[in-house]
Amino acid sequence: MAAIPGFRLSLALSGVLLLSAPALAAGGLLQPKVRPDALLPVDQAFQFLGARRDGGNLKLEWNVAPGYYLYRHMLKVSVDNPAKLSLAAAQLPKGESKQDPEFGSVEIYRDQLQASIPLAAGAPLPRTLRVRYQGCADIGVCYPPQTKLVAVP
Amino acid sequence: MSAVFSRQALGALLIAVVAASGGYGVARHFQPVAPVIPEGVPRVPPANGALEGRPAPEVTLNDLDGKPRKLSEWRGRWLLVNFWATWCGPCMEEIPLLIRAQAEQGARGLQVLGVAMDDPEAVRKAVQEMGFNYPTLAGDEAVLTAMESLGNSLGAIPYTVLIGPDGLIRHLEMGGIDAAKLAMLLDRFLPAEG
Repeated sequence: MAAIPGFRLSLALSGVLLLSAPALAAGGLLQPKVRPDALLPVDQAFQFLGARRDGGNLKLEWNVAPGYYLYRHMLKVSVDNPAKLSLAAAQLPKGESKQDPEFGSVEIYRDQLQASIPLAAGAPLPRTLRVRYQGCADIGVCYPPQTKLVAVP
Repeated sequence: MSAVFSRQALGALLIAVVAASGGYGVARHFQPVAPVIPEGVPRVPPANGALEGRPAPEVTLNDLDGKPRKLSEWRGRWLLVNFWATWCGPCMEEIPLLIRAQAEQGARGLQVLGVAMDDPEAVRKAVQEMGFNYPTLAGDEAVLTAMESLGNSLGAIPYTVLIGPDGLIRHLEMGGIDAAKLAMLLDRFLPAEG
């Protein structure tokens, strides 16, 4: 009989940890910490991989180093050339929710980010995009907004 | 009984740890794979400690009225230069602390100076709303250059530099400063009040 409470205890503990581990992983609590004396230069913290055509879409991609994140609300894409050409809004995946003491509830992206911009059939293609993004490190420093001019292949 | 219980408890713990590892593994599996930073990628020191004890370089930046101001204008005071921006959450968090420090430590010779890497209009609004009691300069590329000359080649903020009345750099701080850290810094360098 004594084995049953022990088994129940193990089941309960397993259940709690099984449920909490994905939340911890997703919430960033288990994200690697960046040391203040080993911060990365901005282009390594947020590695912008440029633009590529993918069917009827333009894809923009970033690699985000562990311990760093990009803000969804700071991501802006516009056409640089030709100046008068407009573009559909970039479609972004759902990010991780972050309660920011200053900015309230915001969405952030870790690891990898892919933005997709639908292209209208038959419409002229942009030659150059202006891409603006900004992010921070978990240790509590932020990098200035980055603006990249990127050629559309 | 206690030996039986101990074995069961140990068993329970083992199962729990295995389950947790499995759960975490599953969660990580469904997340995008984190990029690997290649070996040999230079980790740039954020604040160049070698500058401490050296004369602060002359830096000229515009104030919020567009007038050029030099850091040397504040020579004779303990100048705490705080680089910030309205888009930087950790920077905004520490500003009330700096306002309080200016109010309470001004008599000890402290002069806080904000340097914003931001649009002057956004800075002016924040200065008004937050009740800054210390001057603020603003700019974009010029602020990055100023920060670099003061030991921060990454451009990351908040970044704070303490310059002595003699114009020597006394301390460089990358990242936020909390009340305890600021008190320790000021007590280390500033003369006692009176």
